[in-house]
Amino acid sequence: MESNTYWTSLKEHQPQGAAATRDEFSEELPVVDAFSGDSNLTAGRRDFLKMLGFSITAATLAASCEAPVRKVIPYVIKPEDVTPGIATWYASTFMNGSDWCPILVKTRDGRPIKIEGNRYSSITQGGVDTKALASVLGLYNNKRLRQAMRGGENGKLKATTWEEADTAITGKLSANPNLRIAILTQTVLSPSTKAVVGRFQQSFPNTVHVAYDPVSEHGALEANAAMFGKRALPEYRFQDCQVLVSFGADYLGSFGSSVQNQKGWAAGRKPTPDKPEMLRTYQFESWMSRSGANADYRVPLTERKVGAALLQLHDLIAAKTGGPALGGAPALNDETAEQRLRAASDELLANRGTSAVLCGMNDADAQAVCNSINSMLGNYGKTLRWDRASLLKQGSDARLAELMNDMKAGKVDLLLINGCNPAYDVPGFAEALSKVATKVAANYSADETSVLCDFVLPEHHILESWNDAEPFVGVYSLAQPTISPLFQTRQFPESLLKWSGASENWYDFIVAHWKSTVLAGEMSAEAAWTNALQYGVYERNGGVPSPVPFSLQTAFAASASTSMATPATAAPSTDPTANLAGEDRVYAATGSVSEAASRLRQKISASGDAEVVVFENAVIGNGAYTDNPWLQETLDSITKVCWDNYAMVNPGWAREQGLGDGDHVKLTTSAGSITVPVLLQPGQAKGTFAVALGYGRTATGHPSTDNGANAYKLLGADRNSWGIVNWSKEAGNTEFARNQVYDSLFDDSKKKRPHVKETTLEEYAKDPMAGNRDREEILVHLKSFYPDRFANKNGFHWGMAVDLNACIGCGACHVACQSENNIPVVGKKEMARKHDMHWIRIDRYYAGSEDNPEVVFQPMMCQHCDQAPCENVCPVAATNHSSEGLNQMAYNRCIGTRYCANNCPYKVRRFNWFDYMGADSFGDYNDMDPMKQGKEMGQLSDLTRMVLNPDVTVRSRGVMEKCSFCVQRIQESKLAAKMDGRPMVDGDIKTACQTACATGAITFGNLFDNSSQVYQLSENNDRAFRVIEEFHTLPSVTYLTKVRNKKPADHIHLVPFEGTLDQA
Amino acid sequence: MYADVAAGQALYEANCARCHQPYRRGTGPALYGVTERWADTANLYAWIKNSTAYLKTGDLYAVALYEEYQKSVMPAFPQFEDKDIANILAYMRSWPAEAATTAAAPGAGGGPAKPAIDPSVLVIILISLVFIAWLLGQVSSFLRKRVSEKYNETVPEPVPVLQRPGMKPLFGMAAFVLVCFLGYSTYDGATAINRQENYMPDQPIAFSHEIHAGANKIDCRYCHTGAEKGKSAVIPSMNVCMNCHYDVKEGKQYGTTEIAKIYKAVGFNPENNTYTGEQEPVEWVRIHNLADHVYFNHAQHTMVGGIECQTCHGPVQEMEVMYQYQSLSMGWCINCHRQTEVNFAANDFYGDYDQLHQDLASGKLDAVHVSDIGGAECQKCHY
Repeated sequence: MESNTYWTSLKEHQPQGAAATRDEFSEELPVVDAFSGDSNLTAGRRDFLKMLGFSITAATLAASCEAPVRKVIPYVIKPEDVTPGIATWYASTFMNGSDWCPILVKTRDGRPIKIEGNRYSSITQGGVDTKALASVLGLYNNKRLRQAMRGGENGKLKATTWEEADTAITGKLSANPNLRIAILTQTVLSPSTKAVVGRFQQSFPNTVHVAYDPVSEHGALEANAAMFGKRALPEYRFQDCQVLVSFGADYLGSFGSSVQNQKGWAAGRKPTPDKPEMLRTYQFESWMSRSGANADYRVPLTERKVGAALLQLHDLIAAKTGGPALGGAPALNDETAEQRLRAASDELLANRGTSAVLCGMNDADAQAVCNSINSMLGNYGKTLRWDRASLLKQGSDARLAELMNDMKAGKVDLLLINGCNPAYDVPGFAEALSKVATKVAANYSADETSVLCDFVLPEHHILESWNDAEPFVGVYSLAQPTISPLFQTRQFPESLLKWSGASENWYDFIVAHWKSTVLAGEMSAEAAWTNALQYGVYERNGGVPSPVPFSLQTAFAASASTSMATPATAAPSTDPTANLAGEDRVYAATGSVSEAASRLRQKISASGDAEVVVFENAVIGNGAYTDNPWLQETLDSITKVCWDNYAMVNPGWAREQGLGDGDHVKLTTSAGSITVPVLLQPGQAKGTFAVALGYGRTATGHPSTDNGANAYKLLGADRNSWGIVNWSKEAGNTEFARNQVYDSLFDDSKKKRPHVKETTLEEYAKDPMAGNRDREEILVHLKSFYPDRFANKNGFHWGMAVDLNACIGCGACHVACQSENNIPVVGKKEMARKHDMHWIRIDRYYAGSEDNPEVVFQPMMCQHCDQAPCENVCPVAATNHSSEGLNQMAYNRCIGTRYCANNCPYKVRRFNWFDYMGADSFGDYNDMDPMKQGKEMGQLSDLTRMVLNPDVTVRSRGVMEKCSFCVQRIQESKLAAKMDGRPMVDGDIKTACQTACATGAITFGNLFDNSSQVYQLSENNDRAFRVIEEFHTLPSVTYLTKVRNKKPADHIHLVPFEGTLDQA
Repeated sequence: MYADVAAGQALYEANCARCHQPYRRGTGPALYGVTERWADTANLYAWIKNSTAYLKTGDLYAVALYEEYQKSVMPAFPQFEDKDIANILAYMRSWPAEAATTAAAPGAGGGPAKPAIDPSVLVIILISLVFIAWLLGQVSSFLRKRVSEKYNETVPEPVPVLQRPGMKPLFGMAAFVLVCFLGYSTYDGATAINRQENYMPDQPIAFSHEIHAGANKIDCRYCHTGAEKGKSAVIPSMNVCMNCHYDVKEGKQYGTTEIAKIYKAVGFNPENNTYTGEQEPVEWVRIHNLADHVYFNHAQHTMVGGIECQTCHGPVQEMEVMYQYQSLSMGWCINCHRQTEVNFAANDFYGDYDQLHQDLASGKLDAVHVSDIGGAECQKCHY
């Protein structure tokens, strides 16, 4: 292998690059200017004294001796379940289109402030993703619409009243009983909403309901409909898999039910010395996805070759299982790739029924081939299950296309749009929309679609709503309001009920619908409803799916749900829009596997130099959350860039083409074109551009979130995620806001030890300390005159263990920490100036070649060293050590010398360069540009500040901050134990990052307690190591060696440490 | 004949005090200075004996009073003889005058805490006196010089003050003392910024802890329900007041005026005991303010530490108007944490402190104080 050390950026990977990245202050400081004679800065002694006098006087006046009068306003009538200062938790559901996650909502004094996963869900098992975590900030978004609006000239909305809007709409509905109405939504998970739509259709029979998904799974749904008779996706049970082969499906990111996938994946990635077994994963893909970065074997291929590899695998499997051979698969022309494909095929055949093959293309033909492979392997009914089929994606591209045709032909009189933004994410929709007589949007904000409509009826935020969901057959969850509606908003089903003349309100409708359908089999529907509401989830078969024999049609029929997407056949055939409603017709379009294969062959034989792939960024989503600053500022798992999108290209290929990092290119497909900066991404397949969806919004309400380029413009009518592209270099260069790449923890000399350690399963089985042997030598040298830090077990010594094997770099911990600890958003400009404020960052290391590197993720937060270098250099003892092993930070004592940050070898300390959060009461005194950005995004507004955690100090300008091990949670749990008069129990305290980690990579607890999980992992474990342990900083955070399930010969073994400790 | 003040007081308390107070308006007007308000004492006697009858005379002052108090009539007192009334009025005249000036009706909202005598006034007076002394000295020496010149006496060349014998050490000492004093007062002043010991703002409702906690012996936790549960002790919501004041419609001290404010806030009509639904929150002035970067939890101190409310809040049961008793400074907190013993044996939570238990058993430690288990560390309160 060409590299013998880890690298974090291309600059570092190149010769002499590491030295440059190691230089923390590579720019020149303007010191000479200040002291040279011709400088403007010629302040003399007298000026100095004047300034000194003035500032002392000003400070005295500002801190004038009158304290402000503070009011305290109690409730007039206090609600019984609210105690000021004590959090109340509600079980609810985060849902938006196909994004679904059962959650717990922490409210303080009536304000939701934090989201965690609901462990009662057998699907997510307490896991949670970034979108759900950040949704609490969306509640306090200043750009939400605050009342009903009506369209005006030039897309400017005008305020109106709900009465006026209702009168106008009901007027139109009653004037013409044959009004041709269409309801356009994303996937509707809510069975009650579907029932309300059904009710509306009874009152207005000429109504069709069309659902589409911005990131579509139409292809897979159609393939499954044709082959299994139902338009759904199977439930993937990775915990039952031994081998996982994915063709471009980012299952740890945005493919399917990602939290469930992460849980299942993690179950197979935790080997122990007694049971050295692991799930093995293969990834054939064009761009470096999160799943690819975590795969044991990753093969970069262009999308056309990914299709070819899928066809080849089909025939390799068919040859051994007696299935139908398809033949004619194009060659990959890549020896390693073909070798990996054969190895994958052999392992799949050895693990029939305990493997899964996934395909990420939105293409019915590719999906049909993939289904056929899984069928031959006997995976259906075992690892791919239909008894709890996934209903997360129900949208139909075909029906969307038909609706748009009808709109263009003037066949739609009234269009009701809810919870989707087609003018942004469907090319050509705006034009079709202009032909519709009356357009009504029920969205949160004045988005791209709303501004084109005649009426905008703003929706509640999900945390203000009643709702229900059936994301999997027989699996239900409920959403309940955790705060009274902040604005004059109304839920869409409530509107539909009102317009169809129903007397009941939406809440009563849900309760009645549940009692008559979901809870129909229960002894007491009332008790079951209360129970479901309390737990937030209700699962038919007790959450544990029963095994179903391999008989797809019957198995599915047996558990078929009433809420399955039933075609709206009620529409009379004379209705001109009736053709919108025929799903059967679409079923028939897909024939046998061999026909599908031949069509796929044709598609992948398309000629063209370059391809473009568009994908959903798992952090920021499909564009619905682009206005969320927390998500914008969460760094991408792989590229470590935030606040932007870009076209990822292979570095070597880019150099050949004369493209440099940040250069702009114009990408043109048959559908449209965009201009976007390129980012040189190791591991990207040569000749492909990969662009994230969700950016390029134009109406989020703020220039900093209207960022990037809209990759939806590249999508054709089939909404396939890849296509042939023509590209040309354009003028301009973008500087990305990214972290980690500027602070290298590594020395360029190979004599330094790496900060991450890894081995292979085979070596681990032989030697549990494999990859970690150098620690023995370190520990021998770490002798001290002082007593051992764990010698006197007095009380508590908090510690954390991080399993590098389980960390997938998803960033959920990032957002959870931001939410828990009042961490400010600093904006793109500040991020680019290395002023990021996150207390936890996820370092990503590459090893090996830039064409296909191995990737390791390492969450890095304050290590709470027992011999902390930062503590020794603080001149005012603002940071010091607690008796419980915490490196404590007293903000009010800090004077901002930043010596601690300079002396921290882990680079985890963050400095408040500005008053990002408005902690100071001086108003606009530091109203500089980056601040303004925060201000306009509303971070300093009273509304957005409602998200702050009242138990954590809001830091002011000029102080240092860093991870506190969630000390507020430690203190809270200790107090609870003291009040109960009981000892602390392992697991009492969970840090925010730990609760957010779906894969269970983070463990927290008391290192003095030998039975605690964290002690077992960090003190009684051969995989345990500490970062730069040889410095004798005695960190309280322990990492566990990453174990890859690949042959030792395929693994990049870095050159081991060669020098002596003196050299280190 | 002299009036009997003691007899007057007895009569006043038995017959008048229910509706009248000396300095505050109750059901009826405040009675301090009542004799001065009535032009003719005979009329006042007639008014007291039977106000309804007296109203018929059409006396303008009496009619105005009647209108001002919502046409509620004072009951007749036919049993009073002139002597009794004279005694009562004598008792009223015996009330001190200065209290009346401080008893202005309290307005809502409060002002910042102010010490009794502003030290800066003293400093200004001192400086002025020194300046005047210096001025007089100058005048005197000038005059003496002129007199000397006139009589041609030889004037010794003035020696600068510093060069006079013994002055240098004196000035040195003085400068040292001055620097020390300025340094100390700067430090002391700076640490006192935002401290509000003895802060006693006016509250929107003149709630008396003396009556509720002192005289009526209501437990603190009856109203401050959060004190044993969590961070906030909780200012009671108005529905807690209504638990008693649904029936108690008139107070000893302020009659119905203050209680009427509760009724206004909760929307209660005391005439027919019905709720109107018109609610209006009461904006109390917060007395005990900790800085934003301090975390304080009541439950830790009351439930775990077993501390009495009065330890920090002072003799609340004696406070007619609530004020801040302690400084609530960090030094005050830390001192208490150093001096307070932890009830180590009684709570199983402390079982984890192996070393401290050993030290207790071996006699190395007599008792465990809060600071021994980390109670003086930064991040126990600052996070």
